[in-house]
Amino acid sequence: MQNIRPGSKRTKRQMGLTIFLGILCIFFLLPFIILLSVSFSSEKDILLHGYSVLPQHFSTESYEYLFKNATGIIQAYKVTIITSFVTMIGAVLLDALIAYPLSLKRMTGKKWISLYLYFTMLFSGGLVPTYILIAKYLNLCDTYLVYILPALISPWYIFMMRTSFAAIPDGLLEAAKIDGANEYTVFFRIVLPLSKPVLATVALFTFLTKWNDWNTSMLYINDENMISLQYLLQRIMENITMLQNSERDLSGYMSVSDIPSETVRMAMAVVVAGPALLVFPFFQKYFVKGLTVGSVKG
Amino acid sequence: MKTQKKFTADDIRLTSMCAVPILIVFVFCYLPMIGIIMAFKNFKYNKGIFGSDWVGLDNFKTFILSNDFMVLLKNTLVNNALMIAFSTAAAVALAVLLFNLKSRSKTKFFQTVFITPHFISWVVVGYIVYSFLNPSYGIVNSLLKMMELPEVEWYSIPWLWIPILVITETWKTIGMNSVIYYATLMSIDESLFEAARMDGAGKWMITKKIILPELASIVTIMTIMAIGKIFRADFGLFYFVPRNVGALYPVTDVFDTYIFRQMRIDNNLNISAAAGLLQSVVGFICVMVTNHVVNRVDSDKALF
Amino acid sequence: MKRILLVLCSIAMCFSVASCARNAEQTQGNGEMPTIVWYVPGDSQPNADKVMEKVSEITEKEIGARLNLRFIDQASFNQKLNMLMASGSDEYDLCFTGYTNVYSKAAEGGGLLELDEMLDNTPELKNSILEGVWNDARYNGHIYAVPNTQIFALSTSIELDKELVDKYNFDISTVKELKDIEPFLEMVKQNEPEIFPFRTANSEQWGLEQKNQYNKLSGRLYIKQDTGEIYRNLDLPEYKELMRLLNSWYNKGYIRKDVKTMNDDTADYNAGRYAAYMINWKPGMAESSKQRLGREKYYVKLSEPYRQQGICQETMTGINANCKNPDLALKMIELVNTNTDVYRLICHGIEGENYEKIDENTIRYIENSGYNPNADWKFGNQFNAYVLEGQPSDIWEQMKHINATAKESPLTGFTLNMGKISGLQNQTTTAVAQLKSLMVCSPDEFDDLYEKTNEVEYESGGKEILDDAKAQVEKFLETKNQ
Repeated sequence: MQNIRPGSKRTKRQMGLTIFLGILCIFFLLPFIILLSVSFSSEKDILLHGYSVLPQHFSTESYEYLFKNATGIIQAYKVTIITSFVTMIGAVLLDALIAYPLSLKRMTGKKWISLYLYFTMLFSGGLVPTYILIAKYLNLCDTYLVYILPALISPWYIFMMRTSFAAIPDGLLEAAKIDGANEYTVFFRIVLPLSKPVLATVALFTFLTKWNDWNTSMLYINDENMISLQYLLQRIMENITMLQNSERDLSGYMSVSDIPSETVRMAMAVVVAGPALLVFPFFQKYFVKGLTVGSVKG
Repeated sequence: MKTQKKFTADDIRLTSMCAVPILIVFVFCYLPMIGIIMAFKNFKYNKGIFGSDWVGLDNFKTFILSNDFMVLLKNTLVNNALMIAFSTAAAVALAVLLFNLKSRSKTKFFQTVFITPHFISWVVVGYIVYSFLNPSYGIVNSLLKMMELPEVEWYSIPWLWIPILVITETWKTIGMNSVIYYATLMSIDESLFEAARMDGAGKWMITKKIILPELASIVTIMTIMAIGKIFRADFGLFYFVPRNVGALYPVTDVFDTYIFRQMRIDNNLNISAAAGLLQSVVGFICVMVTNHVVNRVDSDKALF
Repeated sequence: MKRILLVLCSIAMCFSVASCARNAEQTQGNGEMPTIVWYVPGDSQPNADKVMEKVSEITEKEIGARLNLRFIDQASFNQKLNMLMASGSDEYDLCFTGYTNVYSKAAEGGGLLELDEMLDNTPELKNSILEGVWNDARYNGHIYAVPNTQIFALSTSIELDKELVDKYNFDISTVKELKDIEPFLEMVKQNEPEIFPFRTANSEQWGLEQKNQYNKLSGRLYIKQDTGEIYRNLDLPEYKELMRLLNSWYNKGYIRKDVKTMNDDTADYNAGRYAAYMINWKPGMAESSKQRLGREKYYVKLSEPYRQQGICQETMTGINANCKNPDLALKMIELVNTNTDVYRLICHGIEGENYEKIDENTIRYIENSGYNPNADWKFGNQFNAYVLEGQPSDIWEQMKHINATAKESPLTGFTLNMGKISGLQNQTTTAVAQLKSLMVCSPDEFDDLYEKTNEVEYESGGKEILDDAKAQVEKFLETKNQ
């Protein structure tokens, strides 16, 4: 392993392996390239020649259509970024807070708390009761809290953290306690700093789940200035479809312009997924560690 | 030490750490569970959840006796089983390949690429698959046309979707899954390999005799875990990727998509509540059983 | 138990402080005057408040209530209303019901207030709508919503692209039924590679309406138009022929190859990529498509105007079952339907700001004016609306005439009770999926597949659906003839 001579069998094997994985990579990335290329194609080319790996005529008409209502999109970006960010901070903190006691051997009743948490992953009251609770009793419609509160606790991430925390040597914690630290100090001063990988992993996952969420807006938000990005774009597309298909106006009058629907769909996907894909490589260095220590239960 | 347990100040602190999360879970997850009674009622808007008439197990009967039930059961189980098998095998293979790559920077780069699909939503994946398989504009049919082969009606041949869904699922999850196996390999004691090499073992021998056995236990655990969730299908995968095309239901319709359709499109709240509860109960039993099994195999890895 | 409730209450209090303040603001803003809240599907209108202010000026004077019209986008309307109804909300008074927020389901589920006797207190409203239409609005014998008057009698027609018809000298007078356009389709197929000759919806086939034969009741049930008898479409030889025709057209390449998977081909339609299409005809169609698509079309009528049972149930306005002030809500519906000033404000906005007048009854919209719902049929009696530029000036008269003279279904007033049927229909999805394959299979397979589909549908619930529907119709006719 240490002394690889050029031309040796091992180098050749390494080369072969690299090439094989490289080809595999291209296949993994091809879909993204196509997505991007279709979004920058002109609608006419698509209708005549179909999708292609590179655009035949470069065109930004789909993005122009999407951003015709730019203020709406910018506002939705703002809402999404703020709520996702706050949820992320809150969720990491709260998940870690409960994961720590659960990771300790001497914690009484941790089995029952785990079961209590896990139970919610299997059973849910369903949409209607949840809606009634949030809209009628908690009165959270048209508030930012509705994006944040229900997403704060995630049993799965708690279990990930629990496993990760459990791997911290007991001696470390004991030593701190002998120095007079209480559990909160141990948690904030020792456990959290030692668990950056799993915290970063959970943070990113929570952020992305929130980023991809459109349901909340659809159900609980009526205020145009408070809808999330995913929902806005979803709506732009669905409303086009519904408007175009509407046969209800039996007198048949509607103003439907030529909407570049095929390319707009792909442009929408780029606008929605793009930022998330740009963010994730920055977290990547924590992944391998964060996932392995924690996600054995994946 | 164990006999007399004192409730110290630290125990109170530990308990207090759990308090807020437990409260939030109670409010947002347990309170709505009162709604489970909807599965046993004939829900009317004007009567509300509590005021609607009890119908016993009628909703369950309707659901189980419907022709859909067997199709849903079959699809959920078959698809999930295939996905567990295929994506686990693929992830293990990828992890072994990455492990054999000695350059760390290359490994990192490849890992980044393979994980990328994990971060896009199923809606977007649905568009991507569509761009490949769209019968008139899709890339695959364009290629087939170029090679003068007959074009394929991808969205009307149900059985084709078993492999398509398995491949899509693998594409999206392989990176993430392989990380877990890769890390297990990284933790193998280097001296084991040295010793093997001394004995003149080749790459293949090392893989067979050291790497795979080391992985066996984690693979077993992961598989058992996955089997525990076999009655849950990934909604996004089965709804957005086949684009909810009716012709594909014989293969792609699973419990989760059925419940969604009943509720959102047909406003059929009774059946969806019953189907959802049934799925939860069966799922719960499965998880309890698998958790028990895992406890036997390796109690550290059990959920509770 | 008490303690738990106490905890819950306190949590609820904490969470709702912010929103309570907000709500209080809303209700206090308008003083004592009650406000009628009305949900309608559509894009939200930035200047709606301004228009509502004007509307409320009139409604305050007329009935002593203000109006607050709120738009919920089309895509989520059904879901949102379903949730609002399920949660027993009393925050709204009126809602659109019909093709979305489906009338029969909302009525069956108890989400809408029964109006039978209340309507006697609003005679103006009652008289503004034809007796037959009122009958048609009944579900299980009761009226749960007020139909928005528009054209209720439709004819089946074939839409043909004028440019292509003229180019290939196709004589449209030879067309008496669907299959007669085949020579035209063949010419288009041969000479226009970029055009799909025939457009057909991905959804279930229709076309049985030709020559006034049958019309759809629900799912795969059809009504024979002259007798009112119920059939499964798969049992009808006419249906088999229609499917065989479409199958042969598919195999000849007149129908696009991806027809089964096209969820939405409107982009292609708008781009003029279809030569022929089957569509319901109504006055003003030709002008409409010219304005809308920028292309001229010929319309060949295949049947006489006919008022199907239940057609008015596509567009209605209902009252929330939990409405706090139902009488006032109904008065509001009455006002919208009978007071043209109120109605035109809601439909078109404010003159000079949102539209300009061309003559007494014709208007032109001002672009980007912040209020243009552009859907008069969502709100009330369409015949009270202004005529838009480009529409024939007597369009409402034509429609009224057709409504008054069209043949009406012997089953007018009958609504299928979906209670048992909707469950059964859910069981036939597999069969329905196969139904769609009928069009795209090879001609040799057709007969076998048809028989198989028929069998599967029949076995998996089609029989019970048919029996149930027949029994319901029988019962309906019995009571009607008494």
